[in-house]
Amino acid sequence: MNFNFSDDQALFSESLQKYLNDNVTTKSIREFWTDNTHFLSSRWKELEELGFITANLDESIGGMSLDLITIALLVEKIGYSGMPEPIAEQLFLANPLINEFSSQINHNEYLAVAHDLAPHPNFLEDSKQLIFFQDQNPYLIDIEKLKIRSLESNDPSRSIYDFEANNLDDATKLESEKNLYEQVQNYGMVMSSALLLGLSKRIIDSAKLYTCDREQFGKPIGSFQAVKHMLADVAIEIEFTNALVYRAASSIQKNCSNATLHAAQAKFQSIKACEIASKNGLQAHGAMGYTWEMDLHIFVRKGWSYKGIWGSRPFVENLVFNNLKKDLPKLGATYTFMDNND
Amino acid sequence: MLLLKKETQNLITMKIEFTESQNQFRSEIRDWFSKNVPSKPLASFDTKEGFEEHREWEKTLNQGNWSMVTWPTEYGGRALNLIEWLIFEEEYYRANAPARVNQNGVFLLGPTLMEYGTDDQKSKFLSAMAEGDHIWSQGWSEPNAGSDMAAIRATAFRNNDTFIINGQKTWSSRAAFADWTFGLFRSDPESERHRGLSFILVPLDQKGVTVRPIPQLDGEPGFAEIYFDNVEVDASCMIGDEGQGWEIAMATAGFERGLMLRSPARFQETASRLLKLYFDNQDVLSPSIASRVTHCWMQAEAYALNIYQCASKVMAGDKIGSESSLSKVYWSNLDHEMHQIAMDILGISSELKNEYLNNAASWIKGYMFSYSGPIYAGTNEIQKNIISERLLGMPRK
Repeated sequence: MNFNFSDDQALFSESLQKYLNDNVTTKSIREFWTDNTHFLSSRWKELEELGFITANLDESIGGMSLDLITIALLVEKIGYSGMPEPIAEQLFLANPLINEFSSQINHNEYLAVAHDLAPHPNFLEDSKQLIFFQDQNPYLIDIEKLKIRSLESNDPSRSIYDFEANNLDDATKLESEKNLYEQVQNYGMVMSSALLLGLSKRIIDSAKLYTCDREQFGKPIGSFQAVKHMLADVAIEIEFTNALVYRAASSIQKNCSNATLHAAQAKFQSIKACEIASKNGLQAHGAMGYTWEMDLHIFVRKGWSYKGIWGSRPFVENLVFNNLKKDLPKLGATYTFMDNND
Repeated sequence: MLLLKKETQNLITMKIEFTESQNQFRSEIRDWFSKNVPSKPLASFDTKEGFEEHREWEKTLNQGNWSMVTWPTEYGGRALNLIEWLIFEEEYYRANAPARVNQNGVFLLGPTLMEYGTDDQKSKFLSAMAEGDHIWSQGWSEPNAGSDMAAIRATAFRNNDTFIINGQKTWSSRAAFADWTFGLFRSDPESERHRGLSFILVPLDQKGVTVRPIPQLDGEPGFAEIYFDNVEVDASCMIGDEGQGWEIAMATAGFERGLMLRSPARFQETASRLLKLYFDNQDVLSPSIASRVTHCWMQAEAYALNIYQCASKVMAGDKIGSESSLSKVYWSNLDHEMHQIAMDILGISSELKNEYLNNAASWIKGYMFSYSGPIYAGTNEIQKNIISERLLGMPRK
């Protein structure tokens, strides 16, 4: 049992962090907003060359077969940066499917994925193919065979679409032993949890800087206990999200029978953390927090979207509750890390 | 860039599962508890009779060498690491073993003595503590020094080989029946605030000591006032140097807030009992109760995972400092919420102190106790100051 990241994991995520700090500025995000249909393909290429985009592809198709805990750590950094490019989606949703159907899917491209929990694929027009589910069965289809319509997201960093297949015969049904519908659902829950965790950390960092800088009554507003306690409440919820996200990633990686339960728990707590970070973080910025000019809303809006998709609060709460009902005898302290099959 | 790819190929990752030897250790404890935990619950350790029953349990634990499991073997412990400690605690709560009447000694003073005590002090106090012969109480707070502990006024003035102690301590946990107390006293009459304080151990049967038990909300004397009237204590009862008291007390408070006393297992077991209470009564309950019960179960798990993560950090050589303030606020609020929900479910039985149906009596006692969580070991308001100032770096003034 060891919850520490290895030196390699830390090194890998720090190098991504460095890239993001240097390249994904709030200015560059705002520039994207003015032309929000396509993501920066140059940035995608760079991240691909650095090995991040293909990190969890199988080695046989040019990846590094990285484990999901490391991937979750990377996605948390992506969340922190506010980057519009759908790297998180590629790592968590597309790559595991590409590994499974490597002969049918072009593994050098962004692959859009749609699911009942997130039916409006992000950056669909930047993808050549789409994987979607019909009656929980997975299908692969070329984008040109789809009728698509752009939708406006509350988060201008997301470029989302409605789609319709003209004819289901245009799509290839993907045959698998696994329940891919549930697999993508679980991956989606953990992906959005890791993003929300990173976003929450960004929001509290912004609030911290602002309250140390802004002065009223002759001193920084961050010296007032009412403000301090408000941000302490945020720090507490963030702290208790970390380990849940890593455990969920680990359970998926190990094919643990509790993977769905653990993913739902991670999502629930990360929604809670992002909710209080957004509420108290914006409050700490005062009226400035309610302006378009202040960068804070870049992160609040992204959190807003990912709270709702890939497992909303009531959805994940129901998942957990139904599990509790089913497994009442196996809920005590000695079962935290047990597989229910044990 | 290619270099990066190559370097990360044999990535060793975080391991979130128990090893074979950890699982074996778990079954060893489970086996011992199944044979040794008293079948009938003991009386409350805040009664004279219950205190002695719990002293006996301390002795039983010690006979099995399960009393001070995290202490080094040279002091009679098992030198368990923190992960093993968590496993031990999970089994402890699973077995519903009696509460530790000597927790002030075993978890607070013991580690403090090991760090700051002389060899003589260690040999005199550690074994008596382990054997249950010395049960310890805490002597920090005073009537005018609560959250502001540096305002301490009780004095211990040096007179050759003794200290003469005068003043008053209050909220001293377990002092009603304990054998000894440890605490901070002002040894330099000219000093102010954190300076000039010394950490001194005082036998409660010493001449000049008056203990006045204070009944808590449940009516039992869980803490007491201690009056010192020219109490003479041998100078060998001082831990560390004169004036070093504050530093030592902070180390002790660190242990206290840390994971030793607030095992996640305690809250997870409460959460499981709460779920059972819910499912036994669900036909007459509203959807909001189902939701709240679910949240609590998830929070108890989140707390456990966080503590495993902290334990991993400590084992890798990191120090846990102000981070323990995050846990303190979290577990104390969680514990209160779980008992509050139980009261909501019990409804008309929630006032029946002796009702056995639905374990009402036990929930009622726990509910009362859960009001103390956000207060003791540093109030949650103080903890939030620590979080914002020391973890977030917000300005003190």
